[in-house]
Amino acid sequence: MNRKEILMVISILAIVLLLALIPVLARGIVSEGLLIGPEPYEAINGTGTAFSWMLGIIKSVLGLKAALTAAKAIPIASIILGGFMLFLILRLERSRIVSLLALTFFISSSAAISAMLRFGDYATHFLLASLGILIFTRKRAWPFSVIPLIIMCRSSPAFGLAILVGIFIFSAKRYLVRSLAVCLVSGLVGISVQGLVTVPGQKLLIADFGAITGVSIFTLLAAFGGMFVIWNRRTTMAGYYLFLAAVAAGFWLWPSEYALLLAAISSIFAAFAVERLLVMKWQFNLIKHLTLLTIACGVLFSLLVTLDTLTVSQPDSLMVQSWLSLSRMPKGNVLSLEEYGPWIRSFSGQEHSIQTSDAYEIFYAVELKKAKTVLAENNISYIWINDEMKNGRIWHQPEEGLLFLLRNNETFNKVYQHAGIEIWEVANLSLS
Amino acid sequence: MKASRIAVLITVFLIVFGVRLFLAFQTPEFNYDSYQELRQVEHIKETGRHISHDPLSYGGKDVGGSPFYSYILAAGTIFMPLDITLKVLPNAFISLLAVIIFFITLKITRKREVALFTAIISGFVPIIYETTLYNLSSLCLVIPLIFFCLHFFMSIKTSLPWFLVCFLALTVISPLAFVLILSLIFYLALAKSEGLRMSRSELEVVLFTTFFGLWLQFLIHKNTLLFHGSSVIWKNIPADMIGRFFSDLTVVESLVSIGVIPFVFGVYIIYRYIFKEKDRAMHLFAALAITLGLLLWMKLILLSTGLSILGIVLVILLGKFLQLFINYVQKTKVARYKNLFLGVIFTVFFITSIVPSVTIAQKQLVEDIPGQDEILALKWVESNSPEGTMVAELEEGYLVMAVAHRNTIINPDFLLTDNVAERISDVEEIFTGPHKTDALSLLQKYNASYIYMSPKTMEKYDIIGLPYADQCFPTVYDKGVKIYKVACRLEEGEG
Repeated sequence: MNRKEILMVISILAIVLLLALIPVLARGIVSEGLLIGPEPYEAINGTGTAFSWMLGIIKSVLGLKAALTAAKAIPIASIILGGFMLFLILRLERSRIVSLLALTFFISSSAAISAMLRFGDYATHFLLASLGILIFTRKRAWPFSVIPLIIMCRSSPAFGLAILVGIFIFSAKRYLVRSLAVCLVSGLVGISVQGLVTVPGQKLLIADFGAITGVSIFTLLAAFGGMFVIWNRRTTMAGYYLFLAAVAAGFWLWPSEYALLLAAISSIFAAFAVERLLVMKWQFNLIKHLTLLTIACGVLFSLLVTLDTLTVSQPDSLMVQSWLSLSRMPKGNVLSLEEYGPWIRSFSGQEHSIQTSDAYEIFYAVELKKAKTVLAENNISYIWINDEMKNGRIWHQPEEGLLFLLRNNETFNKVYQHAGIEIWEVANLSLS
Repeated sequence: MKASRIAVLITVFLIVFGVRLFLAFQTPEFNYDSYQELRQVEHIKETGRHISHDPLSYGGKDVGGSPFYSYILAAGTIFMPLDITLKVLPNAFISLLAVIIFFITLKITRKREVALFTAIISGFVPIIYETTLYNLSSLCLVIPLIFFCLHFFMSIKTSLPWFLVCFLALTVISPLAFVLILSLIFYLALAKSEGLRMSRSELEVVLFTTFFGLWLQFLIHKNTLLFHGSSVIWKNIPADMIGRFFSDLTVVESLVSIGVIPFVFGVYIIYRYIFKEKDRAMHLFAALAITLGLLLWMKLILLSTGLSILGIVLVILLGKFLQLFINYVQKTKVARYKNLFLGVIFTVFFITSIVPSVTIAQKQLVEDIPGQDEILALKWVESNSPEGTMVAELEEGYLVMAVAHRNTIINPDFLLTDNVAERISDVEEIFTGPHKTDALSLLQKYNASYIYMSPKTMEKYDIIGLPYADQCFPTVYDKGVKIYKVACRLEEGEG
């Protein structure tokens, strides 16, 4: 790499880093720098993924505050480093401009930004995969590629499978023995069959339609163009098409795990298309510049939509304040929305354990006796309610279901009320 | 352009415009769906800004969609009174179709008589009368803009700036710009598959329009897209109602809506130029017709909108048929009967297009336009009742908001709204449910204080009044339209 190229890569990564920091800084003002979404809190409390292992170690050695800081820093560093490695991998064979464009498309995709700010697991998986592939392409160091690949496969079998398939597709022609050895070792050690059995989820693909793990529709459109552009070279580029097919199939089954990979492979195809637009001879120069400007604006628009969505994501400081208040109360089980569970566990140290069907039975109960029975069966000590739940998420009327029953002050005591958030203590569950 | 040609064109425009105006002024009102646009224009006229948050709709909600067409109509009110502007401007826009169809057909056929004939035909496509005559829909401007774009695209090397201006106007006014974008992409694919030499300038313009159109639509409809995702295509219409708007396309319906002559001969020309002959211009319009056919088949476009644009495409293709037909007849022994044949075609066109167009206008006057009794009743509500929510049927929601200035539980603007199906079912329950307590519970849910029952509502539900009406629901207005006041409240018991 020459100096100019290094400078360009650093500039791209620095711009994206700055953009990625916008929601972090904005949340620093509006939500006191709280992490976005339930996933980072699940990672701090959970086990099983590379990210949660790292956070678990930091939490046990340096405490919760350090783990929360690490949960912010590690994903950003992982995507930046992973993106740089993707550039180096592409740089081995492809033109500089394609590598740079692919890096730009990928790193500005909604999936990459979300991985940096919210889905730390996916960010570390991506880093491990990029590291594994980069080492694999080295002359002597290639056997060491199994280390990051095994960690990645243990961490996410679905993601690992795609990477191994990708390595095999791309390199079987040139390094049959090497790719077989790495794929078999990493696959056998890393992936357990049970790990692959995941419930298929339905997620949106396009960031502009509100998907925070998706890809810009402009990148997707350009990627479609890229498929046509390199079709003449299909014999040498077959690996890209096959890998895209594998990732698309994986995305269908495991959308969250594969969103980042789909963003990466779409970015590569999009890069080929934009490279063609740059080098082809245009009849109307004005149209050329307007087209390229529109693509850039489109990608930027999707990025801003994602940043905006992430900035205002839950939890906010008012919610955390209520949970910290809950942490000072005697230990017990908290009834609330299922998605609030990781936050309640992290911030209040209280339990959040109830079947969804039981929770809804309580929410919509019209008889106090029946509500008491289900509350007792689930050993519920506190009920946490906010405006979102009262304004359509659970209830549509001010005195619907449990909201009406809460007026019974023999059974429920209001122990916290601030800014639309209420915590009710379940005081008496006797049925007499 | 020769003075005689200009005179002919002005005459054609005036004939089409005159007929439309004559029919439009048969009533001072518009159809039920137009009253939201009327409110927008009135609001812009008074304040200089459009309604972006509507406090009267669904208890208060954001308004999606592009307001540019409303601004254009509001600009017209500078020169004319509001009611005249809203009758004249949309009809003038849609009448411009005849002018642009003349130029397109002239370019394709090189025959002035044929171009003139098709220009007149384009002014009498029955479905266009149905969708635009008493309607303030942006279709009146969007359809001509689509064909202006196609006209300039046919000579893109010399008309690029005009194309860009028309495309920009089309894109900011309506998402129907996607129909044009898709058809241009389809045209390139068709041309490539037919082995036609691809024009570089056409390719460049298609690339640009695709990305630019998409980007502008995302900018304009950002909130709606983020709220509904890709289902915005179906306008958040509840599942059990979607068939009313995005229904299956049938040949009989197409024949009636578009007219027998354009439909039959237009389809023949598509077949001929897809499978037998090569012609860039014909491929362009065939691509638009096939794109519309596919969109209608996949229910991705409103049936009435899709058929309206398809109708005009088939009229243009009919022009090509007439050119081929005249050329053929002139080579045969019956050349001297050429005018007779054309006369027969015109007679069939008169019976199957002009007559249905006028019939549709008469039918709409009876079925889709609110009667004076409804307007008087709503004006009574405005002056004799406190502000609040009024229960009205779905189709009458806009009318209640525009004339009575009262909040409605439901209206046909389903975008950026939750629980639409639940609201529709609740309103139906209020009108037809047998129990007073259930009705009161629902009325309290929406804080409604009046119920508006028009003859149309009575006919729809086959009722003559509220089934449970008693002293809790006194009839405060009864002159064809019935208005009930909600005089009781349910009290919650201790549980």
